[in-house]
Amino acid sequence: MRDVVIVGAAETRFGKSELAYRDLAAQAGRHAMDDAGIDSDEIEAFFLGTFSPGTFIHQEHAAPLIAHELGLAHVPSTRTENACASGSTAFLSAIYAIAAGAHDVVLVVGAEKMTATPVAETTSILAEAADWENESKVGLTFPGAYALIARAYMHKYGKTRDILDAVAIKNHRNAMGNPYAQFHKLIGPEDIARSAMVADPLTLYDCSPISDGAAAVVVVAADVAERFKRPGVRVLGFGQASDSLALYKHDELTTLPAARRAGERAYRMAGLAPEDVDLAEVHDCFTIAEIVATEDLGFFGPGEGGDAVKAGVTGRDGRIPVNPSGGLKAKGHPVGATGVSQLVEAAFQLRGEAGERQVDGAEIALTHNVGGSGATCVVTILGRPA
Amino acid sequence: MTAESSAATDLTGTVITYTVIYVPTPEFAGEAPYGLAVIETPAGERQMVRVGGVTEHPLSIGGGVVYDHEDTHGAVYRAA
Repeated sequence: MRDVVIVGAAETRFGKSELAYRDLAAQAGRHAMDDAGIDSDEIEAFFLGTFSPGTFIHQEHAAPLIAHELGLAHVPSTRTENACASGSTAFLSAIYAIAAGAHDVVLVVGAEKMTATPVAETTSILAEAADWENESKVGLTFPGAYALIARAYMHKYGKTRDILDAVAIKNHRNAMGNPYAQFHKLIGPEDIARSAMVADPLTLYDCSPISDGAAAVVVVAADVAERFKRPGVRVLGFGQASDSLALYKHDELTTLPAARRAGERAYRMAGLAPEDVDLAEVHDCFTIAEIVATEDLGFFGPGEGGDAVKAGVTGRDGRIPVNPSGGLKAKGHPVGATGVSQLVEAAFQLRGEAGERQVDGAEIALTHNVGGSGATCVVTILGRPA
Repeated sequence: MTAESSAATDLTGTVITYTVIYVPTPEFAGEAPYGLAVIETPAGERQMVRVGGVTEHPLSIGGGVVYDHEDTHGAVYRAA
């Protein structure tokens, strides 16, 4: 396969934004092109990762809309939708286009505008990414799906909710160093104990927030990369895998089988193992999801991920820093933006530009992006510029 | 009674995992808290079912559920 690198990366601040959907997406895209030092007329194709602008803001057909805002004259514009993994799926689409030789320079944007919608309606919109007939119609919500995982996990391994607390506390602490994060607020176990139950055993502080935001990367063929001002962050490997939308049909309920598959594919392509990874941005849509992710990715054995968080192994100065950005939990989770935002953070870290949240000596970064309760899983492995 | 709901009255299962929903979608507004359980039926099939009365009769992993009644959303089970 043709080698691919990231030469531009940018994101908006996540949270409740005054900006409209198109302005958020365009801002991220423009800043990524500025970062790469290129003009819009050099972009040959555009991919937009977005989940549900039709229901959130009455806008489908969003890819050419954003392309036009960005002044991408007449390039092919395509939207990808895989629930919360829409962003990383857009990134893989760009890689396929470059690897196939169809294009050399591609812009990828992930975007979502969620806060203009009432919360109850948002719960309903997100539930549409589950199996409607067998789950949502029966009364399942997304927090509910991950609560089913949390309950099964804690029962199987004899754990209590202090492992969930440890994830939330760590990610809020990490987000303090991230100017793009939605929350800049330290929390402790007492805050979590006081917070409202959403889906037992998950409380409000176990859940990622509802967010607006956008993120963008400029992806190019390595053989043309030298014409850009930025050193290229190397794409070393990637993997995508699928599973049933319905959680109860998964082979196991204390792991996301598709995340394991996606990770295995990415490691194999990169010729790397879990112990080679210097930092990971994983899909902590709920606290339990981060624990399961670190086990699915092979950082820890089954049942060991929660204790590792408590012991500080995944802290910024730990053996394997997880979500130095603050993760979905504290950076925010504008659904379609999230997968691209993980890549942006990985690029910042690998270029040594992550400021006070910089992981010292970061050479290999991994991203893990999940749609639904694990029906789509995408893992990428990126390397420091050569 | 339809054939489907008549068959449903025979249903029982063992709880594999469960949750109690406190923040539902608008369709289920006013019904929370209610339980949801992944169960295994005696035939070895997995299903997800809604469970009523969980405040009085809490769910537990390994415990049983039994079909109770039908409402506008479908079948409602209770902890056995």
